[in-house]
Amino acid sequence: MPEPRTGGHRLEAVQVSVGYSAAAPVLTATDLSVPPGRITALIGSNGSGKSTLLRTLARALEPLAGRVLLDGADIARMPRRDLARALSILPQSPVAPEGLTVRDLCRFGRHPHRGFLARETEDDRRAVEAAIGAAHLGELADRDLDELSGGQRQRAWIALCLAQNSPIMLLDEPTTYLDIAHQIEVLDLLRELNQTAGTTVVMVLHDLNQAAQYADHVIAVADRRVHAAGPPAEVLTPGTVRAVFGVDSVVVEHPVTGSPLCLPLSRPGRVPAGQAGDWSG
Amino acid sequence: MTLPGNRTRTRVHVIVLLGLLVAGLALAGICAGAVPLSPPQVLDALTGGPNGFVVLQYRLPRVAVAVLAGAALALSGLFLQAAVRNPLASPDVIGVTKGAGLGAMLVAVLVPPGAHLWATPVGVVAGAASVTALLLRFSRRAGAHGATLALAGIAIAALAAAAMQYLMVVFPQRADQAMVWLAGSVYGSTGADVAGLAVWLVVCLPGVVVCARLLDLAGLGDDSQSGLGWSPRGIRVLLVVVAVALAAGSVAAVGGIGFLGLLAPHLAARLAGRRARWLVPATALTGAVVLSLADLAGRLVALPNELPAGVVAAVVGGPYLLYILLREARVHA
Repeated sequence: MPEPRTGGHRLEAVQVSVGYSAAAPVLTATDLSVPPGRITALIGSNGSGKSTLLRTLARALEPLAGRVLLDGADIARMPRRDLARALSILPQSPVAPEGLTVRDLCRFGRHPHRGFLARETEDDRRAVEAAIGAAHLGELADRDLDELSGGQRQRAWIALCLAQNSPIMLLDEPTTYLDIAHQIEVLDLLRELNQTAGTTVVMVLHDLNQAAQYADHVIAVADRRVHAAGPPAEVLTPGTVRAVFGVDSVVVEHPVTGSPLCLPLSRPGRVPAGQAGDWSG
Repeated sequence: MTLPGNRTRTRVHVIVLLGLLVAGLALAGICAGAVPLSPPQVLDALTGGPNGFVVLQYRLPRVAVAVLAGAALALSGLFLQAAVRNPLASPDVIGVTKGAGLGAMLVAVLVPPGAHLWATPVGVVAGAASVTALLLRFSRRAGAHGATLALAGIAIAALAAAAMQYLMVVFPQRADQAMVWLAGSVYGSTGADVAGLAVWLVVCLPGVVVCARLLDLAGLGDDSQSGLGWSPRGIRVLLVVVAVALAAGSVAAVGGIGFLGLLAPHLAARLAGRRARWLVPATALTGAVVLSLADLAGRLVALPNELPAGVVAAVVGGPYLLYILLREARVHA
């Protein structure tokens, strides 16, 4: 594994409880640390709180207890603009106002970097163009977001995070609703950014094998806590997969990349729907 | 696909055309009336000619109030729609107009008639501000989500309407006067009305500029706003406060003109697109056009009588709202 090119910022959670009401926290007393300059994948079953955890790490949601620290400082006490310069977030289904072009969207990324009523500077323009270039959207920069394909649109939102120029990028299920080609397009872009710019990436992923293939660090969430954290080869074991998803599986080595490849098995005593009818018609 | 350069030019044209339309309607509004005047006569009157009294004391204030109040109500609707993320929000829907009306009626009932001139605007602003305070307090407890705000506004509007009904039953004669005014009319506007409204709007102007700058950002989701260094709640509160200030000012001047805050932003978006840079001026101008037109139509359709502009606006606005709903339903079907 290559060493990260920059020291990067360290994002940690100390004894945080996250959720929408103190009576029913989704995760309690969670400690976690995001390795700087690496790609971290958050995995867990539906409703396990991985998105809630990600939103809390980004201060989109206040923790019910505990603290989220950026380089040792509580993010809840930080001016929002300072935090936005260090950390960007791509929500799960981001919404944009109608009639916005890719370039218009990226311009929002410069908000944390200049005064409220200040005009766009040459630096801002350069950062926006660089972000568009890095996301390979040069030819689409003047297109409306509504005209783009799902994968292109997702790359435009990533370009917004890039224009923000933050060393840490948090993404909530960046590949959901995309077909396999677009999923790979988005994940490859994130890996490229991580490797060329040293961007720390934290993303919620549904697909375990994509997590294994793209992440350096995997955090598995289950039973209202962090169940396991570490390199993919350590976390993605049949035991963890059963504990986190309640599914038996076989884990083999990926024939090309060598990363763990998790193959789920059907549950004993239950015939998967459709299998019985496969022969008749 | 349209080229961005072309698009910009089209939008500049739309803004200029709307501006010319406002000027034309204002001129028509000064010309029309019991004593019809020609444009040269109006010009003559403005420079101290024979019809100076009619033009300066009567028609000019009326036209000016229609333009200012129309623009303010339209912007109020635009900011509220952005705050609650619902294209059907407007000062009347969210209860602000009703709160302002209740304030006005309380003044009509409780304050001696001699003091109404200054007490009514105070009552209107106080009523609108109370409704807003209630709304924001409620949203702090229940979460400031768009739908919550809109529904809370509807509930508060119903409460204010009930209180007004009560006042009408208990103090029928005094409350009736307030009801006439609440129907919404620019009839009988004076120079003092124009000055009061203009000063109020100048006070609101910095807030309007800030809201205009935040309007595109307000179209992003909460998490995106927060990720870009803004407090989503802060943005919403600011939009609501400025919207209410604008609505209260215009309700104090012209009474309750329904539908304008809903109709003008929608029309403006169809003409100039959704980007704040074009949408804000287009909305203000469209509001001015619609209210001027409603006033002019109200004066002409029922000669020699006059229909209040609020009634005309409702007659046109109601069907337009139904049309929007039908179109939305088709899009979602």
